[in-house]
Amino acid sequence: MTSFTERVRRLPYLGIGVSTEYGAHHSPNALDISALKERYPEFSGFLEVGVEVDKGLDADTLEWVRRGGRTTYHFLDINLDDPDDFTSEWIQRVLAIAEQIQPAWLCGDAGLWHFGRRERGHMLLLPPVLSKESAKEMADGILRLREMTGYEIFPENPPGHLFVGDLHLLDFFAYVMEFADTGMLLDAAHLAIYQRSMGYDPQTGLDGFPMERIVEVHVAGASHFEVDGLAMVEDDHTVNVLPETWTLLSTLAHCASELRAVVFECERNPLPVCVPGFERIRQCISGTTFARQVKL
Amino acid sequence: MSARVLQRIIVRMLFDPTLVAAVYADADTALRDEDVTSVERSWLTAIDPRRWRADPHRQARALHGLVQEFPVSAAVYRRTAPLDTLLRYFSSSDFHACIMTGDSLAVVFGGWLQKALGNAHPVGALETMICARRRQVRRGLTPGSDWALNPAIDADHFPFGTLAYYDTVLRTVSRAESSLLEYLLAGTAGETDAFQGGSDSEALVIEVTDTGGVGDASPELVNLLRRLRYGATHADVLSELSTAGMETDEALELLKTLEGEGLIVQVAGVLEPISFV
Repeated sequence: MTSFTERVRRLPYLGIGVSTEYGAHHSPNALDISALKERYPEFSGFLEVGVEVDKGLDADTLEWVRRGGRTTYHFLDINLDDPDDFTSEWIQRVLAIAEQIQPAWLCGDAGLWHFGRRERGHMLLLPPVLSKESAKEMADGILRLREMTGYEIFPENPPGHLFVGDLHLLDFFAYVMEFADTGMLLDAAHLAIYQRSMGYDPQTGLDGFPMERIVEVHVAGASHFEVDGLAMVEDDHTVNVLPETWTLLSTLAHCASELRAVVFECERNPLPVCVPGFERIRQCISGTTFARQVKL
Repeated sequence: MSARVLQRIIVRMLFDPTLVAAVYADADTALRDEDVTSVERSWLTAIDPRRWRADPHRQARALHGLVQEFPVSAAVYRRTAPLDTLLRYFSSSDFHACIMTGDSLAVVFGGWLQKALGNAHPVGALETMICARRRQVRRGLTPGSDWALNPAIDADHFPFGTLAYYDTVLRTVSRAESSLLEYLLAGTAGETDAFQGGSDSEALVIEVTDTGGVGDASPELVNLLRRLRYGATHADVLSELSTAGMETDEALELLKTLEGEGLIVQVAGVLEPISFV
């Protein structure tokens, strides 16, 4: 197996794209991805397809693929750290879906997607336990999935309201990437929320972080709420992006030498309200190697 | 392994505020039976306790999903208790064991609800069987088994009148103009007739397939199907059918018919397919 440094060179530059989940673009006021592709090709370089194998692919995704649109496969149903979760049935269904959409790579939140067996009522998303042991188990799962599918597997830092463990989130993912010799999808919104919830500066932990392993970055909006006087933030995929998320995007875009893709997670918002966010992303990445490669 | 155990404890704490309180009061005592270190326990209480309450609707959402699979049991439960008391499930030892073992939340809920209704009440058992077969929960076959019940099938003896009562309540619930939850929350759900079972029993087959359902059957057939719930060897099945008065060719014909109807299956990978010739 060649090293990540060599493997990443073979990955395409996808540019700026959007995300979807089954049926997302049919929800009220949802983003019209056909209109986005037609009117703003520079913001529709690819579609990140959120997949639960039990649901499969919706008509919008199939149409996107039929028209030659590029994709990434974002899993929504695998606990990477649990060997028992890699059932042959699940793997076969992943491969069948990947065959349909021909993704550039697979990625997804490296957290707890479901407790117990994979069934209705068991689905949720929790961050991993932030320990070195947990990072090793996560890395083992990434290696396993890479071997089983033949695709690059990029873990994403999940959202969360509480984080358990003795490592900083970024140190945890640095271990995961080292152990699995892989890259990652860094969600700038999730990171900003994590830093706030822990009382850290937005950039804490980036010093010394292996930026050259960041392949993809996500940007999304968030909302504020309170629990008995405690201010908290919800990652809600609106267009109300936190100021520190924009700051993080600028930093990451300029330091991540192997960045291939940026997603604006705004799938449930109408196109006109999304456009300023896309424009801001273009502004943040301006002057970077990534921007030059994707001609933005 | 310890990290995954810790993750399951986190899930339990997110669903059960009483466990959160117990862990914050004394983590070593509250988690004394769990395979986590004292350092890992301390991570749980290093968090502002209000963060565990970030999603105040988690229990209610989960319960909403669960009652969809137990409409009749939930309606019967509502005869004597408010619906929100079902939220106690998330503080029960059944729930906590379920999260640690990875069993089905719905099937375990069915067992808990059955106890809440009183084990003598048949609809809890019936709906739990349906729920388990819908998921084709593995039964753990006896080693060496040649025959087993189809994973989508179950069978048992119930108090006389169970099926009629189940159908009646299900029809009432289904006919309600509101959603199931609205129906259960409304006062009319409290007026569900009580089950008046007879002293006799009725034999029922539960078939969770596209064309199946719950139907009555002969007690002898249900006995055979129950016998195959955990598998049996071909010789043992023939022996039992012989004891019941069947000739060998009749017994083989019966097995062939039951297999053809999809009620029983030959256990794959144990033997070559059994020849009926």
